[in-house]
Amino acid sequence: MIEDVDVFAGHYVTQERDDGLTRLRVTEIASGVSHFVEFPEPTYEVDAEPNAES
Amino acid sequence: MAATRTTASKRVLTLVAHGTIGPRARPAARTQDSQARVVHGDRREDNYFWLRDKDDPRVTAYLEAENAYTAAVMQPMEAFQDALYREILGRIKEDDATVPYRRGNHFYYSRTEKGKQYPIHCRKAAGRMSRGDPARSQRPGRGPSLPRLGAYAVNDDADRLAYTLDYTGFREYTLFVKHLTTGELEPDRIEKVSTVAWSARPGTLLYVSEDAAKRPYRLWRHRLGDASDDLIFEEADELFRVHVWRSRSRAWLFAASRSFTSSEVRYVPATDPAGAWRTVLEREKDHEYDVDHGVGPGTASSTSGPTARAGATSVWCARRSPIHGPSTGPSSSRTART
Repeated sequence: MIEDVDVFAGHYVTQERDDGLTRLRVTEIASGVSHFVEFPEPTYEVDAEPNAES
Repeated sequence: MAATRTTASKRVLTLVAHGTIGPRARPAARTQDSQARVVHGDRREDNYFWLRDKDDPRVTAYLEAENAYTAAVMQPMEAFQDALYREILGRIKEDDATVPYRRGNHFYYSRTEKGKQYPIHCRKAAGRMSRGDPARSQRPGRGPSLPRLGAYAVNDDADRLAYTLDYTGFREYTLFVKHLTTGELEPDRIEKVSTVAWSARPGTLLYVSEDAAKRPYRLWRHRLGDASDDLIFEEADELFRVHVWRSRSRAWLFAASRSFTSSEVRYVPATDPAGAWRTVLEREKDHEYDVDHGVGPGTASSTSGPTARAGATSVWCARRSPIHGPSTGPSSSRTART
């Protein structure tokens, strides 16, 4: 489930919820290839802070 | 948060110490001024209707009595509360900062300082630090001195900050504009503002104002210094709330009308805030979407999130679609629907 989207120059970042956890997926716009940001612990909280960079 | 609790408990303890209220006298909200209300054909006797009047000294007295009673009952736990508070605080990094982001010639970030209540909003330019703290910089001589910062936005020339503060405690925000190089406030004051966005035209910003029910419903265009503003759009449907923002690319201004189950986004070039607004996709039952505009490769892209509803579950999908410019109708965005 997507909760938020940030569009950058070459990528967009979706904030997704899966198994109760917030996950950040980074997708390259040109290729559509994506990866999740990894976190060192099984449970965590993560929030997107304001960021006006494009 | 925690400091608020400390302040509140100090206040009620003072009342007890002065002997105005018996420490164990359990207060009871009196049932008085009973009012009958008929809603949807259902008749309801409300014996506590009088508690709605926040300015009634009887209401204040009752709340103080409740606070004093709570303080008296909880008094044996005070040492434990303080220990708990210190333990929680000990696990929070009080001197902290967000990751700075760059816009133009400045890095913007916010930070918190040990023992202070408000985050401090800062920017750093050319090796020189200039600090702005809109939440504390203004204290008009009215209302409680605990303002809450709402929206804030820096203009394209990076010399003006538009921000909203609530001094009332009732989420009634007033818009201020600060000159960032002199630190002086512009004379502009606009009441009941929920969101604000600068256009690319110098001195022109857009904002949304709230109705008596605190529903953001009117989109306005304001020129700095002007006493009257231009009404761009009024949302008539009481289920919808209006929100204005600038795209990440800064090329467009977006204004959305959103309910809990449906949305409608309009856009206009940021350089032409007085221009004609286009609609991305007209509102439909059970269809929510959101839009932003990046500076991606090739043409600009936008994403939208259609929902497929199954019971209370909504499924959002990220989609790209081109914005060709104001001549493009909403039909191209319809392909975003799954």
